[in-house]
Amino acid sequence: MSDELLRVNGLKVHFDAGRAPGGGRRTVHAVDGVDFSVRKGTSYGIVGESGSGKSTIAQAIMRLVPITEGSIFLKEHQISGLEGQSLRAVRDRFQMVFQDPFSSLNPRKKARAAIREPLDLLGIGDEKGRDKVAEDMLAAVGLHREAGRLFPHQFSGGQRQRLCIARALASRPELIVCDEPVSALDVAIQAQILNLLRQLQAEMGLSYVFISHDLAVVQYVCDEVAVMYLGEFVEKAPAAKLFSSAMHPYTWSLMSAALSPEAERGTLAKRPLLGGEPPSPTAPPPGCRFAARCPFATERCRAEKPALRGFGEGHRVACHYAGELEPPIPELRRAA
Amino acid sequence: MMSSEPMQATAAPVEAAPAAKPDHPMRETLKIFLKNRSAAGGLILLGLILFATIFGPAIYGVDPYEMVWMPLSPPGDGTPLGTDYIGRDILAGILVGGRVTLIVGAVSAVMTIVIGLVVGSFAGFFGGRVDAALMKFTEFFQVLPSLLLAMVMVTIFSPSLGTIIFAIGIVGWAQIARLTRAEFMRIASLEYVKAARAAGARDGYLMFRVILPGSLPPIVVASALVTGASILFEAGLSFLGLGDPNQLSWGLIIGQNQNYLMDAWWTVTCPGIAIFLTVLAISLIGDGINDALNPRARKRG
Amino acid sequence: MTGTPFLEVRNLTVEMKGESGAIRVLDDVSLRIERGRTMGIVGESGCGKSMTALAIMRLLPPGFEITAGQVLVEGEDITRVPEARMRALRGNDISMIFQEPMTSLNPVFTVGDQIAEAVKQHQGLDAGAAEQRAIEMLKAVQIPGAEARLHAYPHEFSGGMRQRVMIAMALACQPRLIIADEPTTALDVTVQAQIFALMRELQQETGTAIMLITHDLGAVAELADDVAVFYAGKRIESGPAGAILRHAAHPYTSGLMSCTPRLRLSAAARDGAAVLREIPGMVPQLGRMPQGCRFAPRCPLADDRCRSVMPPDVEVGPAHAAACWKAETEVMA
Ligand SMILES: Nc1ncnc2c1ncn2[C@@H]1O[C@H](COP(=O)(O)OP(=O)(O)OP(=O)(O)O)[C@@H](O)[C@H]1O
Ligand SMILES: Nc1ncnc2c1ncn2[C@@H]1O[C@H](COP(=O)(O)OP(=O)(O)OP(=O)(O)O)[C@@H](O)[C@H]1O
Ligand code: SF4
Ligand SMILES: [Mg+2]
Ligand SMILES: [Mg+2]
Repeated sequence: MSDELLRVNGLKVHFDAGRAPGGGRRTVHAVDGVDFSVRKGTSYGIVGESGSGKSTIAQAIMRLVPITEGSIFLKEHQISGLEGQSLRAVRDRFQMVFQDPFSSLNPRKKARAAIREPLDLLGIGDEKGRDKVAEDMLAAVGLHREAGRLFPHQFSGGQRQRLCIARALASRPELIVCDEPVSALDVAIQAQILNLLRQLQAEMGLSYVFISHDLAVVQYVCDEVAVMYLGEFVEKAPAAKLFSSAMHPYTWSLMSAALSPEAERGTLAKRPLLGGEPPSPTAPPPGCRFAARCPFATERCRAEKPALRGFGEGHRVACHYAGELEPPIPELRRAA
Repeated sequence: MMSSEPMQATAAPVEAAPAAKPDHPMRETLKIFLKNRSAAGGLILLGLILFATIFGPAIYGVDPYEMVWMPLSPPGDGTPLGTDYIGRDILAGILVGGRVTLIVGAVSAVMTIVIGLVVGSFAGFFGGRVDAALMKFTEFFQVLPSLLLAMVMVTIFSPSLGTIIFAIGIVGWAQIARLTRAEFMRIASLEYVKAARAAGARDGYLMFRVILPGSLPPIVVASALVTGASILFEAGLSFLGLGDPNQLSWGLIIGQNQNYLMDAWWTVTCPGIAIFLTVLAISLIGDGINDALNPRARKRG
Repeated sequence: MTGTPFLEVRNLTVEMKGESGAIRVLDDVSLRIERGRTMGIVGESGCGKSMTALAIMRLLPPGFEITAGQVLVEGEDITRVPEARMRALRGNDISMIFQEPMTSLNPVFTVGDQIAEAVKQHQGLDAGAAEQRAIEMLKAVQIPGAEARLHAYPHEFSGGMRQRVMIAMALACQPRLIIADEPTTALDVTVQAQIFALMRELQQETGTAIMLITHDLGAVAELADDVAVFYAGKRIESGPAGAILRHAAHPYTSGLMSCTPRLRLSAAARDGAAVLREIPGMVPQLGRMPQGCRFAPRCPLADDRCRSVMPPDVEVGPAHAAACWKAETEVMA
C-alpha cells in the first residue's frame, strides 16, 4: 500500500533472563514474531494482558531494546538497521508517549526544557525557534503558554501526560507510539487525553501505535487492532471487523471480562470466564500458546501451533478452529 | 436526570495555574535543610572548626613544636589545655594539627568519591559484562581488610601525607561505587531516561546530564559519611604510629601521648574531642541533607 | 432499610495537621452499609476513598485525625473506643484488602502461616485447627493444590493468586464487613473478572458485607447494591446502585458516566461522531477548595449560588441523596 507509514516484519525480541536451574540460559520470548503495518493518519491498536509484550514492541520500534530478529521500516528508512548518527537523523520522525506520567518527565527539567529536549538533542532549529515551538506545543495540548516555567511536580497527572504529548509532538513526527498513555489516569482525565489524541490526529495527520489493555479505549481510538497473547498476535483486523466478529477464543475472553456501567449486577458470573493466568514467557508451550487456558482446546491445539489465517478484509486469526467455534457472547453471534 | 446536559464535548484547554512561582527542587531542599536545627547546628560547628584551624594558629600565636611549659601540666595551669609529655602546648597542637587532619580527611574523601562514582556509574549504566567485571573488581576491594591494607601500604611506601591519602582513598571507594551503581540502575529504568533516549540522546548525555543529577542525593549523603570516616581513619593510622611523623595531626598528638593517658588525661582527651566534634558536625550535616532530600511529607511528584 | 445498619458513618471529618494549620481531607461524610450488602465507593484519585476506609479501621496515617463525626459499628461508636477493642474489631468483624497484593503480604512467612496466624490471634484456634482452616480458606478462594501451596511464600504466587490469598486471609475470621480498596487495579481484566466472580460467590455463602472502593463504574455495576460517590473529600451522592447508574442526580456522577468509554460489540466501531464527553479541569487541590460547591468550577450547570453556597444533601429518590443545587427528583422514566 502506498500510504503505509510503518511496517513491522517478523519482529522478535528475546531477553536473556539469567541461568536456568538445569544449566543453560533462560530466554524470555517477550515478542515472538509479529507483523503489522500502520497506514498514514490512522491508529493501530495493540491489546493484551500484562506481560504479553506490548511495551516491548513499542520499545523495539523506538529502538530502545535490541531487536533479536525481524525488521522495522518507517517509510523508506529501515529503522531496525540504523545505528548512531544515522538513527538520530531520523529520530525526529517517530516519538513516544509513556504510560506513567510521573516517571516519564525528568523532575529537574522545567516543562519548556522538557518539550525542547528532542529539538536540542537533534539540533533542530535555533534557540529562539525552539522556545517558540515549545510554547506552541503547550498551547496545542491545552496547557497555558506560561506553564513552561513550571517543574513537573507542579502539574497534575493529566497535565503531565499533556506535557509528554507536547514533548512527543515537538519534532513534528509522523508517528507517535503511545504505550498505555491513559492507564495511569482517572476516567475523567482519560477522556480528556483520548479526545486530545484524536483531535491532534485530525489536525496534524498523525499516525499512532496505540497500546492499551482496555478494549473500550482501543475501540475509541483505533482503526485497526491486534490482540496479543504471550508475545504473539492471535487476532488482528480492522476495528469494525474485530468488534463485530471476533473469532479467537482469547479475544472473546477479553470481551466477556469487560465491565460496563450499564450491565446488570452479576453479569460476569453469567459469562464464560477464563480461568488461570498466562504462562511464563520463558518457556512458551509448543502448540497454541493459549491452549492451557482455552475452553475449546484439543490435543491438536497443544501439539501444533496455529498460524495466522486470513478471513477476508484483513481479518487474520491464529486458531485451528477459527470460524468453526460458536462465540460465547450473544452480541457477536447476532452480528455474525 | 442530568446526563442529557451538555458536558464539554472536545478537548478543552486546561490551563495549569502559572501563578505558582517556579520553585526549583534544589531550592526547596535547601530551605528544608536550613530549617532543620541539628543540621544548622552541624553547619555552624563545622564552620567554627574550619575557622579555628585556618586562622587559629595565627591568632593564638604559640608554636606547637616548641617546648613552652612544664611537661604534662594540666589545663589552666599556665596553658589553656595543658601541655604534653615534652611540654608542648596542646591547644596550639590542636589548632595546627587540625589542618593536616582535615586536609587528609577531605582529600581522601574526594578521592574515594571520585573513584566510586566513576566505577559505579559505568557499571550501572552499561550493565552486562562491563558491570560484571567492574563489580568483581569492587568486591575485591570491599573484602580486603581496609585498615590492614592501609597499614601495609603505609609501611611499604614511606608514611608521607601522599601515601596516607592514597591509602585511605583506595580502601573506601567500594561502598560509594555500589551505591552509585544501584542508583544508576534505578534511574536508568525510569521512563524519562527512555524518553530522552527516544528523543535522540547519546550515552554521555544520558549518563552525565540525565542520570547523574538524579542519583546525586544519596551519594551526597554517603559522601558526608565517607568524609567523617576518612578523618577517623587518618587519626587511627597516626595513633598506630603510621602517620607522617613530621606532620602534626590530631591522631599524632593522641598517638604520641597515649602512654600518659592515666597521668595526663588532657593530652589525649582534648584532640579526641576535636575529632569527635568534627565527625559529629559532618554527620549532622549528612543527616540534614538526607532529611531534606527525602522528606516523607513532600507531596507525590 | 430500617433498623441499625452494620456500619454507619455519620458526619465524619478527617483533618491533616500540618505546619500551615489543619487541612480537611474528609468533610462531613455519611454512609450506611447494611448487613450482607455491597457498598461501592467511587470517585477520582485523591477524593478521599482510601481515607474513609482507613478512618473506619482507625488506621489513619500519622498526622491525620478524626476531628468530628462518628463511626458506628452496630450502634457502637468506635472513634472513641480503646485500641484493644479496635484490635478485636479489626480482624474479627472488619477486615481489609489492599490494592497492592505485592506489598500487603509478608515476604518472609509462608502463605499458610500468615493465614493461620490471623486465625489463631482472632479466633483462639490451636495450631492444628488453624492450619486446617487455612487449607479450607485457600480452597474457598479456588487456589489449586491448596495443601501444597500452604507452604509456599508470597513471591511464588502471581499477582492474581496473591490477591486471592489476601481475600482468603480477610475471610478467615468470618468478618461481617470486608473493606476492599481497589482490589483488582493491579490485575489483568481476565483475572479481575475471576476475582469479582469469587467475591460475589463468597458473599452469597458467608453473608458478609463488602465495601468496594473503586474508580470503575463498571465494577460498581457488577458488584454493588449501593453506591456512594466521592468528590474532593465529600460524599456527593449516594443511593441504590441501580438508581445512581441509571438516574444520576449529581452532575459529577453523570459526568463520570458519560466519560467512561463503552465497549460496543458491533460493526459501527470507530465513528467520528461519538466523541466521549469530558469533565473539563481537574479535582481541586487539598486546602484549596473552592467556596460553595466543590464541583462548581468543573460543572456545566453551575451558577452563582453554586459558586458561593455549599449545597446540602437533598433526597432525590428512595434512599437516594445528592448534594447539588440542581439535582432533580427521580420521577421520570
Ligand atoms: N529488559 C527486560 N529484561 C528481561 N525481561 C523483560 C525485559 N523487559 C520486558 N521483559 C519481559 O518481557 C515480557 C513482556 O513485557 P512487556 O513489558 O512488553 O509486557 P506488556 O505487554 O507491556 O505488559 P504490561 O501490560 O504489564 O505493561 C514480560 O514477561 C517481561 O517480564
Ligand atoms: N500520607 C499522606 N500524607 C499526606 N496526604 C495524604 C496522605 N495520604 C493521602 N493523602 C491525601 O489525602 C487525600 C485523600 O487521599 P485518599 O488516599 O483517600 O484518596 P483516594 O480517593 O483513595 O485516591 P486513589 O484513587 O488515588 O487511591 C488526597 O488528596 C491525598 O493526596
Ligand atoms: S488453537 Fe485451540 S487452544 Fe488455541 S485458541 Fe484456538 S481453540 Fe483455543
Ligand atoms: Mg507495558
Ligand atoms: Mg486510594
